[in-house]
Amino acid sequence: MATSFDVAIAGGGIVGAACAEECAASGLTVVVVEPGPIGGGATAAGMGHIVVMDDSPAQLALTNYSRTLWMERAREFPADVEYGAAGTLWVAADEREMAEVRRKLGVYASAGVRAEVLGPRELAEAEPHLRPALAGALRVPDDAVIYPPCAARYLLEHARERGAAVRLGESAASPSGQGIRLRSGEWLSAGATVNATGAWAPELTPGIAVRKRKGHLVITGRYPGWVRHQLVELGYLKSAHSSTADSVAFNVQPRRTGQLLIGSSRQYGAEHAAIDAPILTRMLLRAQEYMPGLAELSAIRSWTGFRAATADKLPLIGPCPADARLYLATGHEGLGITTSLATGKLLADQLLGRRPAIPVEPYLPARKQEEHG
Amino acid sequence: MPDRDYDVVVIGAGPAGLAAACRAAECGRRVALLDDNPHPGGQIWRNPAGKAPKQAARWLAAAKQHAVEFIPGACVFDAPEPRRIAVEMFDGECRLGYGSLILATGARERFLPFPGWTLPNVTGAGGLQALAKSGVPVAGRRVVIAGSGPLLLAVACFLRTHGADVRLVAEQASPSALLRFGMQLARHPAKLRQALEFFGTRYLTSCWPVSAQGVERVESVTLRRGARTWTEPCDYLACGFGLIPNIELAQLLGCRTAAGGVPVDEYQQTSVQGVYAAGEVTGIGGVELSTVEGEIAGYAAGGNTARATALFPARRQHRRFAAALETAFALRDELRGLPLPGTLVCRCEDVTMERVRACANWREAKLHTRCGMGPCQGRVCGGAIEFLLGWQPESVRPPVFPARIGSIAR
Amino acid sequence: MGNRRPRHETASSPKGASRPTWGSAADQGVRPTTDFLTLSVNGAPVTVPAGASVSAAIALAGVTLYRRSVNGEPRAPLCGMGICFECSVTIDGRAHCRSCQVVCQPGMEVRTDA
Repeated sequence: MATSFDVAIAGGGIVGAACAEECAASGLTVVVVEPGPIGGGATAAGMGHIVVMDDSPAQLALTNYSRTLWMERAREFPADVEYGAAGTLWVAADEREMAEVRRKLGVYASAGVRAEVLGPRELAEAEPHLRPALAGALRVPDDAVIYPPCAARYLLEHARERGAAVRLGESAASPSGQGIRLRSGEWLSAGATVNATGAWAPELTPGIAVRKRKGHLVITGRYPGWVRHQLVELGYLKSAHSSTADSVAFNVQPRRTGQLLIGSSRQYGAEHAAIDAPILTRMLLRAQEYMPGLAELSAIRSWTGFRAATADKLPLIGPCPADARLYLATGHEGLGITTSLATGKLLADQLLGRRPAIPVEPYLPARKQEEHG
Repeated sequence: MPDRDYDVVVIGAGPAGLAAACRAAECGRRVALLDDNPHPGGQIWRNPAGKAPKQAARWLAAAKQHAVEFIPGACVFDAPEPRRIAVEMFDGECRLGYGSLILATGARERFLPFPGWTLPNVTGAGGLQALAKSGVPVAGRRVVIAGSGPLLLAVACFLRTHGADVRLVAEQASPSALLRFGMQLARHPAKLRQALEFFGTRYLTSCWPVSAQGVERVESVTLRRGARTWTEPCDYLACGFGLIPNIELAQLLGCRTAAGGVPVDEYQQTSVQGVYAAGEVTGIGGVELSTVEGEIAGYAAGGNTARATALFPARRQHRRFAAALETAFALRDELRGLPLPGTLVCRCEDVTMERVRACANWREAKLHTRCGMGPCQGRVCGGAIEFLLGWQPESVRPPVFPARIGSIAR
Repeated sequence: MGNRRPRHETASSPKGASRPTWGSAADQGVRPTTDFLTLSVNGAPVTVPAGASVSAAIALAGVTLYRRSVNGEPRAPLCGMGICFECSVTIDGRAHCRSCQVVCQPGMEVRTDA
């Protein structure tokens, strides 16, 4: 078994898997270290929403670039990845939010992202279970939904086919620019090392400015056709944007199985994975405000997960200031699924000195982070 | 239904729960007795006003006399705050407060997969009895009963007396194992066996089903016994391989639990103060043990430790039956070979045995195949996978039964 | 869901009772009875003894398919006690009801998968 690689990646979630795939496809020898199961962290806990978001120009650029990569490969994925272009509806409750919808339309149009405004009647036709008297929505038809654990597994298999080694069931004890020391004691030496361990990244590389941001989700029984698009309230952006208060925002996803995935919640400082009943209740009440009929649907499971959050809401993709051979690919907050493919590209670009498709400066770990509200 | 507070809430109205509720009420406590089934009696005492043992009717009458409040169709899905449970009924929900809680949630059957087990009219052994008691017609139907445990004989006799043509009972345990069991008791399955043979039902030991056949529903079952395999035509295959305690609510409440049941102290109290457990949920032991455990829990929760202590000898005696049960009816290794690679193990999500075997553990199987992620929350596949692969179920999260969103967040 | 009947009250328990009571058919299950009621299964009327479960009504209607699995296989009750969800059907418009846990009421509309 080889113990020396061009790149050693700690973390087999969707970001680590995407990095492995891109590096291996670019001709680098790769090893991925993952205690298991593949995609078992935030990748498993999250919503699998592939979405263009415009909280900042850099976020818009990254999500747009990455979503295009997903779209280009849509037909490649096996059935269990469940890729489906459900589209997103950003739902406006009132005229003030409709103004925001129109502003977004302009931003998306200038970025080449297909979008259209729906008035109240069109919205009701598109999604009959939304409550009456909403103002309308922005429809983004090319946004998609996937099942992330199987997507991560697929990307990793693809990496394996191109020679990557996957050490499943192993934990990385300390990654450094020289390689990864496994908890078992074994040493994997590497030309460069990548910390792609999400919310656990600071435990492996002390000093990374990544905080755990807890989220809750609920999944229902099967109700095919009850919701057609991913539905997100405009207030979701405010919730994701805030860096302090606990918040909830209406966010519902139709799965290919016909089940509905209901979110979303955000909490800092909650370290335990147990369900937080008051937050769960707030989240579900918020969802019922937008879709009263949810009250009658059967919820079969609830769970939590930890996003990896940074101060400026942008991920860390690039070398550590302290150790130029130790790279970070973490801090994706609620956009890890969407931006995983672009992260793989941007990481490989930097390792190989390739010109990236979008400027990489906003995501460099060495950047100065402006704390957002 | 409005939210209410009680001194003692008993969850499960089988023998343990009925006894517990009565004794707690006797102590002067305000008691609620919940069951998710529409009628009290649990599994073994279903329809007690019909043809059930006199004991059942006695306990029901006592419960009425002591003003126990029976809440049927009540499914406990969460414990959202200390000393509070969340309950869903067909037409509503409520939160009930309690001073003490008694878990008498009983046990469910262990199902093992084999080719054809998902066909309509392949049911549990206790399952077919429950369905028949609720009105599913069995008169004149050919029934094969298979699996393991004294339950098979009880079910055979019940079905027989309701007009079913019970062709045979296939018990996987060996005759020597059963003999050890039979020797230990005064009242034991030998009597039931004699009754069966009087009706012409074969009782075969060291015998188990290898596959079921049929198009829209089961039409025949292939059985193995030693070197011999043969096929029996049937209208129902009632098949259960022992019992698994329903410990999920105890887990949700933070009680220490083990696969074999919820550990309790001599007063039937769990590791959580004020939460008691009695009956099959503490370990499979039969109706007499369940009843006396329920009485002890009821007296303890009701504050009468003297009466509880007085029952310790009876409990000790009935525990011997439980120990005998476990060894006699242990499942044999050959049953691990029953499912073929393409046999479904998760019925909710249609996941095959080979897909699950390709995973390293439960967590991986759940994420990558969705086995155990359906509405049964792993209650059916979990018992099978525990036996087949040795994987223990993971910790539980609310809701411990599917519940309407409006019941969870109100 | 307008005039839904409370399901835990049966024909013989007082309507509008503020708390569930013992004095009803609820504690007596399906006994030999002259009480019958009619409900519909997949649009066809079925007459069942009072106290029978919806699972029983479906069986009495001669239907063996309660639900179709994820891959379209026919399924019917397995456990009989409310944990397997194989008996799930739509009752009065509400999907995913465990028919083995629901007592038949006059005029109920039960739909199985096709």
